[in-house]
Amino acid sequence: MRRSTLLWTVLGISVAIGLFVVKHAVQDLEDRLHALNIEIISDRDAAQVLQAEWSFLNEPARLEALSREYLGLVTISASQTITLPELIELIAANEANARVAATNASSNTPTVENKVVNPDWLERTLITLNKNQ
Amino acid sequence: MNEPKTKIVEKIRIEGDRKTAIETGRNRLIIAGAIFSAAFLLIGIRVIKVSIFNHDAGPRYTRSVAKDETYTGRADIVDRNGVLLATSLNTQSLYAHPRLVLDPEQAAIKLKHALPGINVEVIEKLLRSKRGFVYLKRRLTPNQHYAVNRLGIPALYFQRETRRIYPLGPLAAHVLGHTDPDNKGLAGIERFFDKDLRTRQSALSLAIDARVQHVLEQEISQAMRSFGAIGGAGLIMNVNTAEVLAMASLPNFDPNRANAVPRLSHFNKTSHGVYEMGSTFKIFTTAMALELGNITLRDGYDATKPIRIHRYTIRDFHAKKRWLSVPEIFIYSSNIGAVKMAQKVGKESHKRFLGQLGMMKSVQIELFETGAPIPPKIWRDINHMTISYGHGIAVSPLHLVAGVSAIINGGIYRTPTIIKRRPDDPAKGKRIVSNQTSLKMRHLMRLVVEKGTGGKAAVPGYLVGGKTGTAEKVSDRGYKKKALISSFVAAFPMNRPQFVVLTMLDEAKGNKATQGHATGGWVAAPAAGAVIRRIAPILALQPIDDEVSAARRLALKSEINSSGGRGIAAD
Repeated sequence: MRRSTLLWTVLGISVAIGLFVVKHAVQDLEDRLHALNIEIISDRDAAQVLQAEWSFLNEPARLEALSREYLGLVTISASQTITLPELIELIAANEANARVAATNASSNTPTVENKVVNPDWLERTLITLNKNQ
Repeated sequence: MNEPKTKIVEKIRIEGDRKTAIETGRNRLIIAGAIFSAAFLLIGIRVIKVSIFNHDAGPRYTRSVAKDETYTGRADIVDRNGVLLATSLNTQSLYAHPRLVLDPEQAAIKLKHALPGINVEVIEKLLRSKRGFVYLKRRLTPNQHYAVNRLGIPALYFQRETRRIYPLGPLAAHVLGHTDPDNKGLAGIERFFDKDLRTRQSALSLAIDARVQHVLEQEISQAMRSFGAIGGAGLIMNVNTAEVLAMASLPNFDPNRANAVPRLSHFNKTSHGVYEMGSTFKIFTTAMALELGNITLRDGYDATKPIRIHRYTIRDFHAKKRWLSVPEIFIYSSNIGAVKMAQKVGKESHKRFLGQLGMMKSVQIELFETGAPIPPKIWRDINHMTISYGHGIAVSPLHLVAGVSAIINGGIYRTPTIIKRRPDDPAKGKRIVSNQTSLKMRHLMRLVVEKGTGGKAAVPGYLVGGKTGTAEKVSDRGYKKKALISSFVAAFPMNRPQFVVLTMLDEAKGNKATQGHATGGWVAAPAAGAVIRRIAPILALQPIDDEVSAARRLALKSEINSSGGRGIAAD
């Protein structure tokens, strides 16, 4: 009789303590969730403001003025574009010319005009162009 | 067993008076114990209740923010490449519960410091009112919000409110429209998709391309300045998907401050305005004659004498006074020839053909601002004749571009759209003319730019074709001689048309450079050419002209030789 009473008392008290601990842990987590939510919302607001600002700074008229002022870029004309096959053909012709010129000129030092296109540069360009196609 | 008990009983036997005193004490003890245990029980119950059933502590304020929940307000609007055109930013609005304000006068004076520009008397009056809720100032800036918060006036509160922002300002203002202070869409896309924008969680993608839109607006306003025009309109459409890449109506306005400009500039000339378009209608007349009138490009008509009907005379503006072949009629824009071609087809077929091209009802685009065409009430012979060269029927520029797209894209009419189409969702259309007719029309339109009235729209490398149009504006009594609607409808590249470009100027005046002319070929065609020159590289179109190709090779060759191939020509 006494033993069981003791047991129930201990059990009751430990359940009560457990309940209290869990309760407080939940409350802490809830507070943290609340704080995180506030942070998410304010970050989201900030991101939206930044996006609007990005769009504002990318206004076509502004970009046009800036690129004209600092980059000296103008509208591309048809004569400034070339297709990849045309480019390869052109490079090949250019290389052949250079070879002929090199054999013709007996001197060992190639002149600036005869300089062939840097093969590394061409390699890289073609790889990127192929990727984009 | 009885003996000890009696012994004890004997031991604690107490006499009368004392016995009652002890019994009273015992009773009191029981009562006190009962009260205490009841109190402890109550506290215990309360503790359990508070711990487990926490409903008294107010509603739970936390809820997790869903992962896909990206917008707190109205959804964004973006262009076809994802450039932000309209967004909602969160701002704080200041409101008060006037009944809880302790000292309205002091509060108003304090607020004056935090929010310069407010009227102290008005604020004080608001704070003294008997209402439960008043807005003091809506949409504070972050600094104002901070300043008001620092004052610490009780009974003042903030409410989150979103404000619609158009970061690109006036760009595509007529397409986007604008909203009222409560974020209700009042015009354009904002109005048409009002409900959708309130609820949707992702951005709405338009078919508009911000870069192309910018070029179109800039070139048309440039042309307006050069020729002193009072208005302008422009439209660029993909002929195969009927997507509108750019739609301009000038003068335009900044939707961020929509109320700062006269209502008149809110009017969308491109989709809402209806005009007699003039000779650009000859595209439809010629296509119709080729399709239904059993004529070929080798046929022709006598255009020596003007046509007289009732009290009207139909004459040619660029009169050649001789027999003209069908291509000549088209490239010299002969009214007489157009009338004769239409007559070959007949009145009823003419009417039906224009109906199929959508010229008899509003365009079903995603805007409420669409103009209903004004066709003649009764089609008499005179209407049949004038409509062949674009007079006597008023349609919107959008009607015209949709019709021209159908004629040159292989003959399929598709309803124009401002919303980006998914690549896997091809637009359904209905056939208007055969592929052969479409091919012939491409040739004719190319000829107009190569040899005819549209020469100023030529762009090397992009095979521009088109048709000029000049119409006298309708006034209360007949036509105004000096007020013209000058337009040019272009398409490129003509070997496989991709885009139609329309430029239109309202009441353009000729200047020295145009020898006083204000017709479509002189004022609108150069603008169309300038637009195409700039947008073709943006739209990644490859130049195709052989002549240009040869020149290009030469240019590049010399360049590779001189600079190692890395130079970018900047002429």
